[in-house]
Amino acid sequence: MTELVALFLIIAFSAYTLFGGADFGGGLLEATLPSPRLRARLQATLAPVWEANHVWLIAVIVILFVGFPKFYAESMTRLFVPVSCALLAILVRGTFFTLRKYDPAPPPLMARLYSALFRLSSAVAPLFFGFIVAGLLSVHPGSPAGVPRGASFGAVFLAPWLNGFGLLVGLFVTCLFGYLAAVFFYGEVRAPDERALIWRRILAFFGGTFFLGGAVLATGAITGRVSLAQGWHPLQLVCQAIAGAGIIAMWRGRRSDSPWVLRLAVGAQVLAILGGWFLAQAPIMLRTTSGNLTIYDAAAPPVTQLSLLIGLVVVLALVIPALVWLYRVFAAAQTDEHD
Amino acid sequence: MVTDCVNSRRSVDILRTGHHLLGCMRQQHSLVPPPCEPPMDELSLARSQMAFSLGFHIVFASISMVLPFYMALAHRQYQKTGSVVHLRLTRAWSRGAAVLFATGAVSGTALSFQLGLLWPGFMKHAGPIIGMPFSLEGAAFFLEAIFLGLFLYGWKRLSPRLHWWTGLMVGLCGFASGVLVIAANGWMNAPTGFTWTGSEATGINPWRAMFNVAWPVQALHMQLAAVQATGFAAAGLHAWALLRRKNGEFHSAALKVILPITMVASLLQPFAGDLSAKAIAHRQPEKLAAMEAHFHTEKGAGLLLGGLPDEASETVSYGVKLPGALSFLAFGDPSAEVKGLDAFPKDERPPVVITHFAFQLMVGVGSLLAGVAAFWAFARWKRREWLENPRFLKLLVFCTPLGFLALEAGWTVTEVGRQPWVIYRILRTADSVTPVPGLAITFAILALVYVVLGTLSFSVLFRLFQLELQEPELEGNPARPEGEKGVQS
Ligand code: HDD
Ligand code: HEM
Ligand code: HEM
Repeated sequence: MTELVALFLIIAFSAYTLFGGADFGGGLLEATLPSPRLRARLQATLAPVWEANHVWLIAVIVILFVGFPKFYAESMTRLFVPVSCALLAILVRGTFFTLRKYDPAPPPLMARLYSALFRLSSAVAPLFFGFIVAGLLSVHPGSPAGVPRGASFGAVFLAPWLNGFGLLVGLFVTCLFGYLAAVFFYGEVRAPDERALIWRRILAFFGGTFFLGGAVLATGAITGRVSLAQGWHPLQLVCQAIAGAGIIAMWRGRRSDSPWVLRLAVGAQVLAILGGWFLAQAPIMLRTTSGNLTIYDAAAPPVTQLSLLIGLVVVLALVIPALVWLYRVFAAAQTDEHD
Repeated sequence: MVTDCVNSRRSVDILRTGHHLLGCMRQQHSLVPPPCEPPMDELSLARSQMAFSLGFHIVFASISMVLPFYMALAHRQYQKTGSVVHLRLTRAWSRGAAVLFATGAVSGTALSFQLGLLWPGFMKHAGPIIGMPFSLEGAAFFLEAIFLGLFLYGWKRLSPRLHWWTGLMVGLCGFASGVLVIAANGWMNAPTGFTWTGSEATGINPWRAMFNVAWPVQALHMQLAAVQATGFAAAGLHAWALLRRKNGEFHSAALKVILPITMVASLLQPFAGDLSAKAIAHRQPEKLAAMEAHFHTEKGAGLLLGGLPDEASETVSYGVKLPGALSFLAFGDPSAEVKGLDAFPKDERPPVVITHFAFQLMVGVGSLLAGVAAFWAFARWKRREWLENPRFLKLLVFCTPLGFLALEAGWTVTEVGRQPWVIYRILRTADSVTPVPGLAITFAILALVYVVLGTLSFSVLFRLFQLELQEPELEGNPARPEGEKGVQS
């Protein structure tokens, strides 16, 4: 049952990475777009993603504190600093996005401020997500039951994530999100010159993601955070094959009429990357110098897990049809706008 | 800060992570000479930060629970009569709902992180027990988001009846999420559904925890409070605009939508509050004693009006006591015994001054608003012209902030009155706070961000309403109200 709860956690996390990622990346992509027309177009397409976006994050948090309370408490303590920074960026981003969208007549200076803060926080949040991931991959001082006695603030609360590796992961996540956004947006523009422009962005972000990903793996392997031996695990190989195939499919998807070929190809790539990470880490949630915290150690009692699963199934049963409905109404409203 | 940590009390606190419970602490670190006291300043900072975030969230959450109902009512009116004013109202309120929804969601997201960031010791134990309402709240919220989207984008796309229904669902889902989080707070006041071993919860039953005795009473009182607070705030603003003789038709239509629900809630609220007080008399007698600054256990206890309590000498100066009234209100019998603070050990007493003052404020405002509501009800029944009178409008303007004032005061009573416990008689707040030092920094940043965000959101709302009023005339069309007009987003 613990595995099942973990599976839901992974699903929610992946959904947040894909949808939230495209959303955060949108802020980044926007900063690189030359024409106001394209920027306006991008803003319009991001709206519905945003409304649904927070829910995945909340789902991750709720599953963590209900299903894996020990991990939640411990990681929130040890990663207090990067989590607070990410949270701050999320707060600022969400608010300025909304203000920009709904403010009917902002004074010019305000309008600039809205956009500037929105873009800045869109880039800062993924950076700190990366630091958090790096923190989860690193070995923390003390034990899963608490931080060591007499250790300094820096050693406990900063050193595990605030380092070169953390920065690499941060940049990697930022680039990855930009990549997702560019791919999503590619399907939303029609004019050939605009498509060509977005395609260049896709390639740039893809290149960045690829090289930073390589750098993360290499640094991780050298510093013992990532074990390369894991790479030969059959499932790990499947993940890598999917990621590779995704790259090929991406090139072909460019020519396709339906935006979905490209989107699915890249979505699969990203899921494969996540899958690779989870496999490399499973079943460990947090590493410390005196022992690891696995999903089994961190798990809530079975009754709680069962109720959580029931709750999640009910939620999905209610939400999925409603979401499909919303998507159709929204798509129809958008076509109306274009005609 | 780094060196500071090594040899100050904070570093001692770092040692304690993971053993937030004094009991197990003493065994584990018996070598550390005196059992470490939590650093008081960090604890108060954490509490202030939590209070600040919640106090902020609750304003946005309350409005976004209630505004969709106004929107649905105006929409219904528009569909029935085709009146342009009601179309305008619907659109203005739906945009307002969208902005507040987003702000509420962002501040709520922040809260769910903060529970873990600030109170890891609490979440570790409470998470598995009281997670159910939180997950269900997530569902309610998700549905609320979806229905709001459907309403905003559904003007031309959905049949009028269905469109109206999606608007109503926004309100109902928001209401449901409010009721569900209160289950978590109720459980902190009346913890059930587990057995406490002294350091851990066993035999957990999440459903019993969710259906704790405090939930229904608190939820009723809170939801009425949300209706009341939002209602008086909105009514006050529209009344102010009416006094300035701008767009009279629009604002008086708005008042006609807002006032009935608000006034009914205000008339009911004192009864709901009385239920709360009676429940507390049984459940948390020391909270009642602190609310009433009732230091000494006595039979036939009097109800204190006003008064300045002094915790050191356990006396109250400048107060008026209504003989027997406290006993009567708490237990329905004027000679019943009411426990005073002296019945509880000193380290288990809540802070008296804040709790008492906040309670007086809430009840004072509650009585005043109930009075306003009674006046309104009488005027509606016998003297309609009084409601058009500028003096009544001025009264409404005066009441603008009062509902929210009472709401914040009420939460102060509940939360401060529960101290020193975070889970009543199970876990002390001091034992659940994070060992991470430097909370002053996060608090300062957070406070700044919230103030900026709050100000900006309300200024945008204000401009949204102005814009709605400046737009060129829309034509009413009773036959097919949904057909031609409406908004895209
Ligand atoms: C508009 C807001 C408002 C108004 C007019 C009142 N209250 Fe209230 N009160 C609240 C808003 C509120 C609240 C913010 O909603 C609280 C905090 C927690 C809760 O469940 O409700 C609350 C809590 C609260 C509690 C503590 C509940 C607990 O700890 O479980 C009591 C005893 C009362 N109230 C009693 C009253 C009485 C006797 C009132 C007489 C008119 C009154 N309230 C008016
Ligand atoms: C510790 C206390 C609280 C936490 C952790 C919390 C958490 C949250 C979160 C995470 C959200 C975002 C949406 C979601 O649930 O997924 C939210 C929204 C909301 N909250 Fe809170 N909340 C708290 C207190 C309250 C209280 C006391 C109420 C009112 C009774 C309330 C009413 C709402 C409502 C109505 C929403 C819907 C979003 C909106 O319409 O703005 N919350 N809350
Ligand atoms: C939304 C309305 C609420 C407001 C305005 C509010 C207000 C406060 C205040 C004033 C404090 C500080 C208490 C003190 O320092 O003495 C506090 C603490 C706290 N509240 Fe609430 N509260 C609200 C709802 C909730 C809910 C619904 C929950 C739980 C689900 C909750 C959980 C907590 C926790 C965990 C603390 C810190 C521990 C403690 O001081 O006991 N609050 N809140």
